[in-house]
Amino acid sequence: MSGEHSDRTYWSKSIGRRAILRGGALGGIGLTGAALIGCSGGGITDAKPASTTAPAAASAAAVRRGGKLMLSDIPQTQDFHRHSGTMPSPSLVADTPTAIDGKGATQNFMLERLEAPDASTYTLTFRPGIKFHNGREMTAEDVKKNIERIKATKGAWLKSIADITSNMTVSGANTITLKLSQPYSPMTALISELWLMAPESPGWDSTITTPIATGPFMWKQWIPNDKIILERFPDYWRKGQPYVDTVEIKNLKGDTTPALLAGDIHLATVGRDQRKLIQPNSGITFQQEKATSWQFLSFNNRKPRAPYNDIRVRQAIGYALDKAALNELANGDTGTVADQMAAPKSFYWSDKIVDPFAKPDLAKAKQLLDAAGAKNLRPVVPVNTTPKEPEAVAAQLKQIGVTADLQVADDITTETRLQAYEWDLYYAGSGTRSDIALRYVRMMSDGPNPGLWGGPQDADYDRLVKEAWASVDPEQRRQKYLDAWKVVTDKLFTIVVYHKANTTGIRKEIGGWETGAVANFARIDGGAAFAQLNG
Amino acid sequence: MLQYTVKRLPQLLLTLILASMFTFAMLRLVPGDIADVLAVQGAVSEADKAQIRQEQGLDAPLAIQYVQWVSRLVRGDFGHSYWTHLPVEALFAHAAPKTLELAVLAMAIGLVVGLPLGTLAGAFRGSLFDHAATFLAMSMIAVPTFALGLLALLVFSVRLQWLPATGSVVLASLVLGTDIAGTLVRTLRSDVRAELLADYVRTAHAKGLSPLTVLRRHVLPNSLGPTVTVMGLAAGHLLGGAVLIETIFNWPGLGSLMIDAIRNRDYPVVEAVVMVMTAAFVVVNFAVDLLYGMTDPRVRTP
Repeated sequence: MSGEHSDRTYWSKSIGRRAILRGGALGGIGLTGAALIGCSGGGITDAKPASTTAPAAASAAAVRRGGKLMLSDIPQTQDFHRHSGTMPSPSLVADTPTAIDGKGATQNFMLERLEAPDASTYTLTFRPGIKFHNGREMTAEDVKKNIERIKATKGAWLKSIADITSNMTVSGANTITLKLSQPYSPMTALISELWLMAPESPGWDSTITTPIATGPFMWKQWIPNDKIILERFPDYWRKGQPYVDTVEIKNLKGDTTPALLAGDIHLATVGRDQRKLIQPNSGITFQQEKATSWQFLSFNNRKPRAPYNDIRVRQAIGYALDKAALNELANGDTGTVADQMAAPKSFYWSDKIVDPFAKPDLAKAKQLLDAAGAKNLRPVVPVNTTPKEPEAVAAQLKQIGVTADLQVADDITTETRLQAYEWDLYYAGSGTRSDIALRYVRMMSDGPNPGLWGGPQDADYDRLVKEAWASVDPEQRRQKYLDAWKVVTDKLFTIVVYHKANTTGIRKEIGGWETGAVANFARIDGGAAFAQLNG
Repeated sequence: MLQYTVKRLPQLLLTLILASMFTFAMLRLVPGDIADVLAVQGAVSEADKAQIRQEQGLDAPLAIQYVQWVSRLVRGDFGHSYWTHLPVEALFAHAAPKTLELAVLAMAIGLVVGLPLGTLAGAFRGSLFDHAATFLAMSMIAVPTFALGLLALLVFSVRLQWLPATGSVVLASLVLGTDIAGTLVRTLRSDVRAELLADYVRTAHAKGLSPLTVLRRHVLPNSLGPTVTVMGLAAGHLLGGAVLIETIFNWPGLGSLMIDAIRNRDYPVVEAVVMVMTAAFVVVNFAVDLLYGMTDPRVRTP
């Protein structure tokens, strides 16, 4: 978590809030990506942040070209409009209008300019000369067709954004104006996952089988359940990049540490236990991701059974938790005890909020249970696959006489149970997101997959989040989010336990790799397009 | 023989029908379907889920779903993967040869190791070699395949870095073949020993044939009957073991495909893989039965 302090420094030094406010709405929009990691962001005022060539550090003389970069991912589909969860692979093949940089801020990427006079109108001007892998130059018409396709595809990634795009006007070869049916300021951060592909990609009318896009690598072959082979795109618009000739993405399940150690892949996410097994002389170095995922204990909010609908019982459970012990068990030094959805010290985080559950207070917990008349509690706790942490939570609850009934099952079974709301407590985590809007939306009455947070249905919360989305002023938006968070803590929908940053193990053969604030393999300021294979 | 074959066919068909019903029902009993999977990923709303189920025919009564599936199956249409949107046949085209490669290699390793060890252990019963072979065979059978796989992975790939940790058919087939070799040694040893005590062997020795010739020409062929049966069963275990081994070694075969499909509630893929594996098992054992019937007339006598 050490990066978060420096991120905050970056905020105050780099752009400055006033400068962003002077920049109008765009500055505010530029902050959206900062939510998770403690930075703020640079605001999208012009194209400067997104360099069009390789960075100075990788000057032509110093660059080592060629070779095969070996990665691991479990890709669901080669149709990037259809994937249904965060997937690092599309970024290797397809670029996006904006991008989340290494500090978590939203930057123009394919865009030369982005104008947003309000949170409902977005004019996107793309850089000229960006070519698809088939050699054709991309135009604003192509962007329009991509959004239309997403809108027409059930379950498509970013469909919610396409659905609220009520009108699209192409006003030049490279400019398109999107008019939204409702104000939505997270738009610019979220289009960092709008993978743009050529309409002539085979399968465009149903399922794309060979994506033709503008990214650093071209799609060569996909062997489902095995691997994907990509080749360097020589006409990539960021001149000079990428440096490796080929990328092989292996479809590896389970723990990928053995594959990393054996040299089958060049980098992998390694957990705390696996890190201990990797010898210092193995040639593997570690980098922490710049964004965090968060862990929490949720109550069933949609159909709470007595006495778990009693705030005193919820508080008692909160006082029984030993967050520091849970964090140590799961993360060690890559996690930090927390009490908010936004990462500690990030822009949307507040130091004004005092965590009542920062340390366990068993006496107070028992008092509250007595006051509520709650005895011999046996809360039903669904557990997905790995019970290590829920078992620790159960042991902590046992100290106040609460016996958790852990019901272990696989992911989908657990999720199905969660959505049936026949449970009392759920201990879970949620990953990094390109914008904090994607976290707040989950606790809305009609949010996607709200089961993890017990499906709250609270009109005040919904209203405040929508007001945050409509706010173009970052400070105002931050305050609205914090007000919404107060609803969560007042009613104890969920109790945040910790934030953690994933660790990536990188083999010595790889140079120039820098983990970012999003899971993408290729990013605006690091990742696969910058990677070089050492001698 | 033809009469015997024809009489066995209905049994074969019945096995496949029961397997199809069982697979179909079991999969539907597991909580969650593809709409839930997509909802979990945040890709679709609650309202969309109903429509997805309708599009995929998952809202129809189970019996109708089953009949529709079987009618497609008999036409050779396995359907499309819910997850990758690819035809299941395309997924099979990549995965099935991989599993076949693994199974054939494992079987070959099992035979190469198991046949000589079992034969010689039986021939030299009570010797040091026999004890060593028996101990080895017991170890091969007793150590669970997944444990041996993980151990081999850590030693040969991670520690020694001799072989890749993923996609290595050598390591995967060695581990899978070990179990077969162990079983073969145990079976052959007993059968060879039993044959060596038979009268015709004594006669062969009395006729002046060398011990090696007696073993090769008379004992071994007569000992192979039960061994062929064991191999038939081992083929079934190979398919089951492949599921585990393919997962451990990230070998992109049918087992690995099925595990992913179960995880994603990708019904068409799971159903197709289970049916193909069942059919393979049934056909192999049917072939073994026929072989047995051909070599031993008593078997085909009503």
